[in-house]
Amino acid sequence: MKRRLTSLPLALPSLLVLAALLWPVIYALWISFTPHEILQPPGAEWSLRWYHDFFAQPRWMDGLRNSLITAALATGISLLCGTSVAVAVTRYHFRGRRLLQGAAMLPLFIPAIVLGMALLPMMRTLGLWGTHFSVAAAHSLWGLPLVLLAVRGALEETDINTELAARGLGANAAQTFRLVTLPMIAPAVGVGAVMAFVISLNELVMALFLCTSTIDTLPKVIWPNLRYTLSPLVAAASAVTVLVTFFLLAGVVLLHRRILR
Amino acid sequence: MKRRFTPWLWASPTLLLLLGLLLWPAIQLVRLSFCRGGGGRSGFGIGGSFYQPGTWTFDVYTQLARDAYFWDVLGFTVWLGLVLTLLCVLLGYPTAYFIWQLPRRWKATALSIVVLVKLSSLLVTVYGLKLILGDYGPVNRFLQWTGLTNTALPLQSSAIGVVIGETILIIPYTILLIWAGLERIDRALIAAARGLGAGAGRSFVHVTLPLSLPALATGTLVSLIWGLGAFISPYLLGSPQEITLAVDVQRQMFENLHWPRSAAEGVALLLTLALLVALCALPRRWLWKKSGLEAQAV
Repeated sequence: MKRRLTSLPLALPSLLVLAALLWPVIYALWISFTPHEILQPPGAEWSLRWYHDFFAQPRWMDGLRNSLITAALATGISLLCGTSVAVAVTRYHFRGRRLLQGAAMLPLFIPAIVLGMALLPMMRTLGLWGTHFSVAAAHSLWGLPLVLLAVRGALEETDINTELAARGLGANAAQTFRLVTLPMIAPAVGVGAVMAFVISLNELVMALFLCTSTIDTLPKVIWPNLRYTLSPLVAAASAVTVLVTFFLLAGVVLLHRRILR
Repeated sequence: MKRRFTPWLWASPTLLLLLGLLLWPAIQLVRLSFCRGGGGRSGFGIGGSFYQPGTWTFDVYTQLARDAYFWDVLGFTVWLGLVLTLLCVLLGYPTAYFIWQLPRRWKATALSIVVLVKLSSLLVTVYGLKLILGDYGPVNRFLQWTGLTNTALPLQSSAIGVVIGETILIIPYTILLIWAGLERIDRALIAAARGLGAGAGRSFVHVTLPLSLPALATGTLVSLIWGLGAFISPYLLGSPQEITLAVDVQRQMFENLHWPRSAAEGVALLLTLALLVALCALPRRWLWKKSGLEAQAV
């Protein structure tokens, strides 16, 4: 009882911070159900008209499609790099191991604007500017460290003797990885994959630099509208990304439960 | 002999990615800042170019050094970065502490709020904020209803809007990092302090706070990095007075089509970042030592 009372001055500002985090998202979602043309929250009457508009207009649907393609590619690259490097740093001791981990985490600590600005001239010289691959590769700079973190944790917890037993029984390194290691770390790989996908799906700044009009991702299509026209259609478009993110994260929670079990 | 190369074989995709997408672009970025501008104002890539490849000149840097506008932008960027760091830490630490104290079920709820808001599109948050902070938004209507002001406060298109917006965008990182640090503390230590007669306040000041300092330092560092790179909130919630380096990098690239200048400003942003991070890292190293937690360092 006493503990409750002492923590009240702490609880109030903290709850306010949490509310402030949640409020804009909830408000935007609420507006997206308005039946009105103007930005007025729906009263008694709720409507899905802005969602109909969203799914009817090719501009938005193309954005959604491009986003999904880019995110899928980025997830693939992140998984390939992140999982393999996690094996390297957990199963081997070698010079430069810490340096390698640090380098893999580094992109998370560089402002997106600098990454985007540095990548654009390069992609342009390589002739990759305006391809899904260029955006996906840029996004995997952030996906890779997340996959590395998730998979490294799982690898540290699995028993290395299982792998050694497989090797002793005559399996080669590739077979051991495919048949023994991978099934053990599969849930963690799944978590990493969802994180990489979600990050890529919602990333804006690098996409702003690397997208050309034919491959604009959904956040890039939303972007100019936020400056000039705040139509409820934009709220509906944002709501779609929130919903996709929400379901993917719910999947992560389920996966995580399986890991803990 | 063969074994020596096996880990590098595993690491090769990552190495390739880092060399190709991080190191090489970084070198290109610096190289680009020494190129002559292309004078390509006449349309996007039509009639002009973004830069003249193969040229070497210090033009852009001398131009920047003399440009009062650039120094204003740099000054605002640093000011904003410091204000955001301060706000994120002052608000983030109590929130992280509060979440850490919650019972299991509520903790999961609070954490998922933070993670969901962070991971869903930043644009949803900004959209919501634009409506909430607008002249006819709920905040202004509430303030007028209470009679605190008669006219709508300029919460949007102002420094206030930028600070509120960017704080909301960054603070989830701060909260999560500090919370993770608190979670690593052995609760038995706190129980011991309480058992030995320390009150809640004393056990916090002498046990919990020192043990959480490394996480606090990491949280501060990350807030600073994101604060200095602030782009979305100044762009969408600010007025033309609230231009940060990040916003200007983008404008030089896509509006003025002066890529060398954009690159030079990118370099300036990275240098400012490195300088401030180094200043923060000095006490950080000392804190790690003091709390005896080096072994747990990332």
